[in-house]
Amino acid sequence: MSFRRRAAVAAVSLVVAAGCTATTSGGTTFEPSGPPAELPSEPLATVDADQFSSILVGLRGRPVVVNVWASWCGPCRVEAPLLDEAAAEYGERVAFLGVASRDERGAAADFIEQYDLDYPNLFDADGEVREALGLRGFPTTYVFDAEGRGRATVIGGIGEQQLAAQLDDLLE
Amino acid sequence: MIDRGLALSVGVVVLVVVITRRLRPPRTIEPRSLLDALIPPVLVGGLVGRLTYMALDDLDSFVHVRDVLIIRGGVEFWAALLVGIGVAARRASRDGCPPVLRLVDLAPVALWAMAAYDATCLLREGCFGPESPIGLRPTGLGQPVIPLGLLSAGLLVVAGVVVRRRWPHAPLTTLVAALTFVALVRAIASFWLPKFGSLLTRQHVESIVVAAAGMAATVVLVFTHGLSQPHDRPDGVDR
Repeated sequence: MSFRRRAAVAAVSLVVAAGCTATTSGGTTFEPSGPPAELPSEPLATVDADQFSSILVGLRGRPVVVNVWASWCGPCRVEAPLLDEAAAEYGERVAFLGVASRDERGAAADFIEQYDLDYPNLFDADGEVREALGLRGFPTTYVFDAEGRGRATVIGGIGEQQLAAQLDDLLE
Repeated sequence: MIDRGLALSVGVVVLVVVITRRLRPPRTIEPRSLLDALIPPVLVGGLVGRLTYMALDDLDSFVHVRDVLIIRGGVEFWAALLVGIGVAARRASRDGCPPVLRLVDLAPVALWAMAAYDATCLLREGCFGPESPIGLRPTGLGQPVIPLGLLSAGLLVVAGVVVRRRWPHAPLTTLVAALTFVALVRAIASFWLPKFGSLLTRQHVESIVVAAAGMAATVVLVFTHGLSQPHDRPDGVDR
């Protein structure tokens, strides 16, 4: 095998390994339930699975995008500006909610500040939220319709086309 | 973790190149050297495209150097393609082959590889487009849509066939026309691809600019060079 071919194989392998699992499946099996709750006013509020579920119930009436991320996750850094842009674009029509999981609170706060995320973010201190959601990789984006039903789960960085298509579909 | 969709797409593209090498071998290089000829332009072009995207989007993204490798983050298509063309042209000069002839020789492979990548939208996040009663329904959508990725793949396959059949007539005109066609396909498809807001995306604007410039250049070349003048082939180049 020529040197160039070996280099190409190595480069492709590196690209493949540096990414994250990117698959799309139908809605999550997680079903928000419980009494509705308001979003906490404090930034990066710690929530457990029940509190998270109640927050999602409280957001019913419009589609909700939940993005589970961590500050150490490369693809999370890459997609953060896109999600922030989407949140600004869709405004009140769609609720965006970030969940920092498997992370240090300080690093998560720095991440939010670095990317100037304007949508609310919660802190999954004990991993209950990611367990309830059935998280399989970072980042994962869950799209819920206005009735709270899971419509899509995107494991790995979500792209603009995919997110815009799903949200426009839900808003019609 | 592995970006399965992207890895599968790359695998399909490589497979298409290998099949092309057997069924429609290039004329200006040894068929077995086709991958060697394509790899440097693809790697250098891809890297430049990725760096350009990161620089245009957010300079702070360079803080984490490894993020360069997250191709899903975005690649500036035209920067990647034009740099790749430059690398291929330079290598042709080094091989003693007229660069334009080499580029036109490789153009069908490149077009078919692009077609393969577009078609493998099925393996990635989905093939999106305008809503339609007949079409495909990507995961998460309630309505079927016209799969623009598959349509553009078909058009690029046809373009590759046309470019190959024109060999070796008016290679510069053919090359510019092929680039223009790619730009037109991307520019037109972008109108219907979902995006945030109603403004044109940066890459969409780039495709429109390249298409407009390409059309103008093609017209000029047709009038100045004609369409049927064959290029003098270097020694050893097959018909």
